[in-house]
Amino acid sequence: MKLVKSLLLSLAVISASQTIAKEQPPIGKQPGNFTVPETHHMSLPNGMKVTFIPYGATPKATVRLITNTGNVDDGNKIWLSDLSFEMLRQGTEAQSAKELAEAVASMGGQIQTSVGMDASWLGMDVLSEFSGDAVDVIADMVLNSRMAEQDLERIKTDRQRQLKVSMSRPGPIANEAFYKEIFGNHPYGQLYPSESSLAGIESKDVEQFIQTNLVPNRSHLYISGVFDQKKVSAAIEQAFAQWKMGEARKQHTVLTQSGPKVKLIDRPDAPQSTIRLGLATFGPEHEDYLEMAMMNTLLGGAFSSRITSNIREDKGYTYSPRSRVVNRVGTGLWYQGADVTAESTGASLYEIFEEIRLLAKEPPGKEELDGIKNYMSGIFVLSNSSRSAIINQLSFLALHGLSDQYLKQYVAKVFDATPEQISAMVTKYLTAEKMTLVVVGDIATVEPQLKALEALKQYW
Amino acid sequence: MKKTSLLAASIISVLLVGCGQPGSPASEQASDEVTPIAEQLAAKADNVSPVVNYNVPIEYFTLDNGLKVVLSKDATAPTVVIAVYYNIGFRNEPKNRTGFAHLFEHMMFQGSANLPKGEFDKLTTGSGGFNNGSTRFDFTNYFEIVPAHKLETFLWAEADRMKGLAITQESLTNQQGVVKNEVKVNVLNQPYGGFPWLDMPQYAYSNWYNAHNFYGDLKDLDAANLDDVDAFFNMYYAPNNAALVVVGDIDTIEAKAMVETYFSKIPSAEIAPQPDLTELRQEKEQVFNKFDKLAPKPAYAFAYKMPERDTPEYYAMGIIDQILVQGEDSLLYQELVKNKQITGDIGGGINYLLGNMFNYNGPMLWMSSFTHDDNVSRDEIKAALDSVISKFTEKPLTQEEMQRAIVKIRSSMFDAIDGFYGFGRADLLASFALFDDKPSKINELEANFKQVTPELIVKTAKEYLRATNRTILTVTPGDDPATKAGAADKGEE
Repeated sequence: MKLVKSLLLSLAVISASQTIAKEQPPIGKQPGNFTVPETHHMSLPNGMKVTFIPYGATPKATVRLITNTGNVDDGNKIWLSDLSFEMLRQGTEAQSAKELAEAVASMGGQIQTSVGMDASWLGMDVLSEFSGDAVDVIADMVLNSRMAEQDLERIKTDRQRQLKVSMSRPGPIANEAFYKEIFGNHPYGQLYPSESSLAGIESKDVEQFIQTNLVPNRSHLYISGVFDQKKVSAAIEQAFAQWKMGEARKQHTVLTQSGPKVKLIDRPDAPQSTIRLGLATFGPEHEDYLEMAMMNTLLGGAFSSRITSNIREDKGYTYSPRSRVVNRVGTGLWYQGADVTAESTGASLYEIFEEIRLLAKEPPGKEELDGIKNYMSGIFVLSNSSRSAIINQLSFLALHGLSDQYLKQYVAKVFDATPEQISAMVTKYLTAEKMTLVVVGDIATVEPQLKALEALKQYW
Repeated sequence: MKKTSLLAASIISVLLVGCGQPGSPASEQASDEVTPIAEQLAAKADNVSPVVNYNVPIEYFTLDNGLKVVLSKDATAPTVVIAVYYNIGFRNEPKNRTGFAHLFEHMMFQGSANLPKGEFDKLTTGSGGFNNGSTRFDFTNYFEIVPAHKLETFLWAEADRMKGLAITQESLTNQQGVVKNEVKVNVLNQPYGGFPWLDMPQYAYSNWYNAHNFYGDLKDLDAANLDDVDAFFNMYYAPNNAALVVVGDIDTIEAKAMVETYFSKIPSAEIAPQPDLTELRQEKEQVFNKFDKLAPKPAYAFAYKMPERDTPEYYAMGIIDQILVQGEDSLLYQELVKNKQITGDIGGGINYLLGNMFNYNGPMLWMSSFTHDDNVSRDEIKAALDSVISKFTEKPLTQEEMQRAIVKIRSSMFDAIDGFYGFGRADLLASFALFDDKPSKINELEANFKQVTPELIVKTAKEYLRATNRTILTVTPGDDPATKAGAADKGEE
């Protein structure tokens, strides 16, 4: 009863505000043309690909070596890829870690590494005049890294502490359970190691990982910003010439598991419940990917989206709700996440299921969808408008086997989508009876609320 | 993306890179999710750092009603940043209304005369951009990043809410709920919640304005009413207490005309006097501990009170900061992570986690923090810190060390000036307009850093890196054995 009442109240608020007479905002000028920045490519005999992206006027360059490896290649030693990339930073045969850090700092940069599920990178942002030096340093780290036992021990100790801290936070606890429910024993479902599996990682595992996975034929070097292309390409050819080809990437078969499933994880006295509700979908190569992304933006992905407007701006149940499309190679998932007031856990889920149901039942209005189209095309411009953003775009295409056409046609495709197509994405893929729900919160407070929810009846 | 606020996004970005860092409300390790770009962008909003050696084009003027306006053209991308900074930060809020400056920030999105609740956000997304707001020590800011052709739309929209708000009790109640959830998600339901960014000022400072809880007590948040909203708006939200900055692909003459059209008729107001923010010179080291029943590992933070803004010593501290804690080449990283192996990562800086060394206007701390294991004693940690700090007072830095610090500053300046689609530049220009009436200061920064001599570093370190100018705040996992509430244990050493 209570839930129905609050829904009616919200409608009343919206219609009341629409009656206010108002001055219309000026619409501004005609949009200018936007073209995706031009790129130049080359590849080395060992299979390493190189892309140059001249961009902007600021005298800096971003140099990033992205390799198709990551936690997906951890095997049963979760975080092996994280440890391996961190070991690359511990100095080379010629330079200690401290000397290396100082050398890169003198170029105006910092060594950066980032490990993802399917792709990982090593790189730096330096003042333009040091672009060639940055290439040399990256090659030196890849080809001649020191692998000292004591560094690995120290890093493992730090990672153990990090693991403990992560597992004391509600977000990581919820994510770990949620991904495990969906991807099971596949690496996509294994976000955190156990203390003992982490302790079991040895130097030979790291060396083996690097040797097998950090190979030129799975790697792509990107340079964006202001740089002397002739000089940098000469530096690249020389620095990476000795890097030996390796095996192609192994394919991992992904079996996803569908709900209905509910998992409650107790966090006694928690003032909020951390929610993950979602299910396996598909990867960026799928024909419905863009419409799915649009649907997600409209439903819960943008600040003015339906779920955020409802449970935050109308009800005040939460601060930062969001829905997401998560990409993995050949697969993906959709979820809605939120940290909601413990007492409003059931009410929040009720509203989320209602918004999903409503969008499936009725295509969005033209005005609402036009807003989403404008938003996505504007954000597309921004995501091609910085040194690192452009690299992210291009490496996203490369990882998922998409062509340049994806970028060239993106805006036109966004504008082509119809309200019916958007609504159909919900009908086709967000099946309410197949979702997985994870809630981290105070079970005594939360469970009775969830048991009373009609939408969750078949989940128990 | 979310109307964030004092917490802003810097914490998130810092935490995503650091493995030893406590205090991340949102550092979820869930790997490479597709975070909407707008949110990634918002998360970088104040990760933009200092600047140098660049000639930023500046058109600066003040309207008759007192509004300071800065226009800066940058045609790299077809986008524009519109930013309005109000000269009211969280430290200045009324004593019986802790957290109100931040709650009020949320109200600025709850409706104005021509944009009812929700319409400002729809206008932004429907224009192909995003907006955000945040509350900091000395200002509250609002900005939009949109396609360049939408400049006029957002000058109109910002002017509309500068003229006045149309807030209902329903939307106030709604945002009280949202803000309380913000406090829960970032502080109450997190290990190290509020440590050190929200906690340290409360321990380090003695003047209430600098030392109260900026997020606010939940009971003060509940007590806020519509009269408070009106009074606060009337006291602080007027053109003569604000700076408007536009950065991006603009025609400067055209932009100036639009600014005059939409803002020049907004009446100025009598602004509430600024409270006295003075802190006395600290003469004794302060040491505090906080129990945290959600934290699995102890944590350590330490802070020094900064020299006054814009003095030679202030620039010297900018250089010291680079050498001490910025990057893996820094002295603290080398000593605490590599040599002593006390932690896996150490973060720190001036206006740490809430801004940078330029965007504040009052007393400030240089602060640093990290987590560690139980088998390391606090005495060992302190000895390690002291061994690093004493290097600055024992002998002048080498030419090479000074040079590297300057290069690091220069490089980060370039990032700040075009970082985050021009927002980094807007932030500096707004701060310098608001606090110094001189946005062109942005072009003088490098020269100011270069004037710092090794001797000045020694002098600065002797006065400001004194142990007696320091506050140490530690976190002990578990319930407070003395008081069940887990309140902090105040005491001096």
